[in-house]
Amino acid sequence: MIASIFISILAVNYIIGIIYLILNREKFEAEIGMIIFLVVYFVFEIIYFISFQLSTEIFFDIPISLIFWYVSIITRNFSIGMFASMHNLELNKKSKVRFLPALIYIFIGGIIFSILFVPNSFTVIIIGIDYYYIFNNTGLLLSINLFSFCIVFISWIIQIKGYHNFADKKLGNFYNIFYLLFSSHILFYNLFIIFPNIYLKIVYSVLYLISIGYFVNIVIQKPDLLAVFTNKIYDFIVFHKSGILLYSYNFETREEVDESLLKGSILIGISHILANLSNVESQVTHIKMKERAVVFNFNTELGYATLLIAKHRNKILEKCIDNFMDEFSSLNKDALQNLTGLVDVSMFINAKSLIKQYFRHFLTEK
Amino acid sequence: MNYITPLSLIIGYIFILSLSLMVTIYIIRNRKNYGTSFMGLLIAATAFVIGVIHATLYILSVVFFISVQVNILFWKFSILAWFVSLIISSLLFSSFREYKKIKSFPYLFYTLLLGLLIGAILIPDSIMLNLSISLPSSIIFIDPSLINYFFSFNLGAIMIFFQVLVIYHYLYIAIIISMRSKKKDETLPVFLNAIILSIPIILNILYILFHQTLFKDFFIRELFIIVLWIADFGLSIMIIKKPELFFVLPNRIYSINIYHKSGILIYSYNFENQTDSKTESTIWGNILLGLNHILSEFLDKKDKIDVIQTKEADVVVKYEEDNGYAVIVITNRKNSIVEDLMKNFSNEFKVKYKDELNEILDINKIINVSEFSDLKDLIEKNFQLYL
Repeated sequence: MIASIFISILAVNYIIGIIYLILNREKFEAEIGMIIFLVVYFVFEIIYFISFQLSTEIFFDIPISLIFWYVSIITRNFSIGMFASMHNLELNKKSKVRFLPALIYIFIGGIIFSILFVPNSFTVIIIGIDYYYIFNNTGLLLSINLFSFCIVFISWIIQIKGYHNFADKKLGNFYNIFYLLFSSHILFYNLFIIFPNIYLKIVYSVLYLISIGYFVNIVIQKPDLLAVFTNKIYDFIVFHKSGILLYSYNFETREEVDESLLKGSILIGISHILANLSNVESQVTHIKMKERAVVFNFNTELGYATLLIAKHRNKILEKCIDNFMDEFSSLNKDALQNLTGLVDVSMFINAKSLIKQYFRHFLTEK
Repeated sequence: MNYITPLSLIIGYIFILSLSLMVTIYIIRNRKNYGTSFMGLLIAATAFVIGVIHATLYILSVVFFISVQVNILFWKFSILAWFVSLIISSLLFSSFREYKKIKSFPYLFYTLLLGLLIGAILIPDSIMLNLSISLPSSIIFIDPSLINYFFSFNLGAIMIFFQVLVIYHYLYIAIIISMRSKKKDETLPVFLNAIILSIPIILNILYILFHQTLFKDFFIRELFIIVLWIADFGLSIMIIKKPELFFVLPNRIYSINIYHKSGILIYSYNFENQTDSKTESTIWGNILLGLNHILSEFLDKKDKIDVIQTKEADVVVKYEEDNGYAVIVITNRKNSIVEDLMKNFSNEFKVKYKDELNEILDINKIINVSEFSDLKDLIEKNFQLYL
């Protein structure tokens, strides 16, 4: 009975989220890897929660309930480990040991998986109208608790240390609240498996549903979650091959600038590189600096280039630039082909609307 | 009781232990000779884990009988040491390929397998000891054929799967390096290393597969350790004598340029024809000129250019703000070996041309680039790996 209520709430939650995503799909732009990650994460969460709830229902025989219980343990560890790994990796991008948290989770996850199949690991008891599982295997109980502790502890350290890396501070605040809920439901899950009883089960299930609902809410409210996370654009500049600055936009002030941050000799330098446009083989594509990246893109046919200064280069950014350049080329084809003598750069003012269109995810709250 | 086998194993153990300790200390002290310090440390760790930890635990578990629990414990730890050494050696192979930029996926997988392995080892009765003589009351020196360990199915399956993956990974990396390298003969040592290291792994797989069959009488376990120690001995000698055999250079350096902070080219060396030429190829001419100007803007700023990527090459930049110059290496792929060599070269350059560099710190002074014309020897000394 209780299980069906919880499962129904979860289903409503996901259905609302999915319908919203389908109806507003044009707002969302993400790397395919990120989409796969989210789909796998949510699928595992659904399997976990349903199997966890069903495992306590005396409607099923004990062997079937035990199967549900095993499935719930495996999928829970997989989904929370996967989520924490992804979050830690994204916020810890510059660290030399950025994979270390994921390695720790995988390592403990491997131990849990091995120990889980020791015969007679659980004793099934009936209290009221529910099955409960007593751990006979102390090693298994300890390793599940250790796994949960590592996830909460490491994730909070990274969340606090990496908060300044969030390009969108509102998203960072959303994550703070989500991690509070995430940690709470993990804590109550561990309390539940140590001291199985109905009250802990209900508190845990409610907290779980709130945290999942909140995460679905983040996805709906912050479409940039899938694209931006920690990345940030500083400047976007369009040059003609002659070295003339056609358009420049500063993402921090949200204003067009007559002169880009790159002045003087750097303009001469870029014009030298742009003069080499005919040599496709040796085109500069990317300049990596200690704190940021400069991405070059050339249009050899129309003789112009774009220069984007961002925190780091990624496929979403490259796609945004490509889309911008395609549109910019088609809008200004004639102007670019006839660019001689005294140049009136005001004709390229249409770049602003293109920037707002294609880089909208990066125009987030500071 | 036959004492020839245990005595032979003890003698072999003492020899391999001493050799491994010496090799480990030697590599740590000379780690710069192995491409990068990281690679040096990985080689030292492999030698130490195989020759010291694994060998000791192996000997303690098969040549001595202490008690059933203690022997099983030693045997379990020897299995762990063996798998740790496999992970370290495959890390080493991966670093041959990219240097420091190690692909994470195989190691996420290995970590999972290591977790599974430890979990399986922690399960009671995952390893059983079968003693062919009556249980001794005290510690005894024993014929290894009388002491047998049986693995549970899960543990055996994980161990076999893990080792098959490691062999596959070694060979995969060796093939990838060979395909990407322009000089195929340079990649031969990687292939040889992969094959040499695969032989004991195959023997270990055979041992696990047949340890409960009549084939165990063929001493596969002892054969495994003997072949492992022979391979360890051979590789140790090669490590000391020819360290360059332990790494291949999957990349090339096209040229080195040194720029004064004013943007003036102080010196240029072309690796393709090994000349100190001021005339750059037409491909790089415009790029370098543009870069020259960009550098003059960025040199005094906090955020420095690290590398400039083009469709064909990486232009790696190292600034020396105090001495007012920048070293630029054009390579097909930036890696930590190139960075280390640039650092060493720049340090020697600073010392050798201290006076000349001090003189031209003032950008209004005329720069006489002919003062740096004998830089060729210094470059050839520091970058001889790429010549």
